[in-house]
Amino acid sequence: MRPVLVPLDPTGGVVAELGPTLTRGLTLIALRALGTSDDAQEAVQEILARAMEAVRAGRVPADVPLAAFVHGIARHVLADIARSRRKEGQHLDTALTPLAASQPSPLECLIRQEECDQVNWALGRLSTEERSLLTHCFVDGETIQSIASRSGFSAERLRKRKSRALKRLKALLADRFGHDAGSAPTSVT
Amino acid sequence: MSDITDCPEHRGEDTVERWVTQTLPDPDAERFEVHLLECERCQEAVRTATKVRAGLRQRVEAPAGLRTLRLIIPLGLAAALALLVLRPQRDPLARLSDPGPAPEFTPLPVRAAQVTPSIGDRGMQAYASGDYGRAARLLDSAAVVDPTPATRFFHGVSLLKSGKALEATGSLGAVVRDSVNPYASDAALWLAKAWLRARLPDSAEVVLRSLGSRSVDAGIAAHARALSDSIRGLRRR
Repeated sequence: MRPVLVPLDPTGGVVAELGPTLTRGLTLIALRALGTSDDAQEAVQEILARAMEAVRAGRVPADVPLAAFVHGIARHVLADIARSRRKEGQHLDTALTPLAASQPSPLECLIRQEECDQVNWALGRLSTEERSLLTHCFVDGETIQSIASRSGFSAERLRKRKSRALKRLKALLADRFGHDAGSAPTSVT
Repeated sequence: MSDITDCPEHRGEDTVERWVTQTLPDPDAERFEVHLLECERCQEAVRTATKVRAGLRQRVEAPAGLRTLRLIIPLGLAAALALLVLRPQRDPLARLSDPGPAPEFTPLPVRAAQVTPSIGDRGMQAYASGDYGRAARLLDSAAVVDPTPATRFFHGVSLLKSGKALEATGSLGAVVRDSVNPYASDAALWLAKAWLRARLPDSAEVVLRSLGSRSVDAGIAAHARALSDSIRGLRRR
């Protein structure tokens, strides 16, 4: 994976300050929309270049937060890529549909198989109930509210149960591998 | 990690999980993405959620049917179906094959300027208004140019709801065969209902059995089990 180059901010302003965070955020958004890390990195470069050009030319409206402005550019760039892929006969659904349970998330290329195996090991040590709840939330994308209304449990109780399950997951990973699910190194640049 | 994110704006919400699973509605997803550009905590949470999802998916894929052990099952649905079957009826199969209410359809908001609705859009409008005969005709034409699982699924349901059970099995079967799509499990359940409606419970059972061996939503799994049990109950009479 090529490293993302953050263009220098000639204004010495907020873009420079936001640089790495903005770039990481853009990478996540582009990856989710495009599905491959190479395409996502190219899109991020393009978005940052356009954003810098707009900053340089003073085209960022004073009343629009920079992140919202950059997000607007990102939407255009990602839509352009989708259009050109369609012209090339490649399929790219710009209206993202909910992921099926069996479908890998495009974001999964951010994580290594080893990390996935570690989380899998820790998940195996949770109770069936805890795993069930996490599956509803993290695989099916259901809200706690909708699970509550289906199951008869209160939303508050489910929220606590989910919180406890995540805490246990963190502790298991920390004990065994010395990190939690969130802080393990990832290949994202 | 007691919440997926420590970010004060999104702590205690399901935003991160729903963004990762692409179930967050468009306006909320856009708001979250703008926030994501500035928030390192939420970026970290997205990676965490992705790992948890990948780990869970791996577990789901490994032992078939593991997800059927999921605790939170909409028992009400299964119980209601069981009660329906246990009621004395003149023709139990006819009663059992009542497909019930059609799945709801909520149109996605479109950002583009208003244009003349496509034939598919008109089909879905008819579907949403309960005019299934018209919906079936329009979606049949739409499926020729846009044979997506969604079009075929709603076409199949419309056919079934308008009394064309055997024709419905064609459309729904196509969605089931293309197993990697969000409609596959729902389509399998509706395919079983279509076979029942066509008075072919054996075919319905085959579909329900194959649904039982796949990882599906707990609600669908419960419904499928209840339907399977009911068919077996009919045989014992």
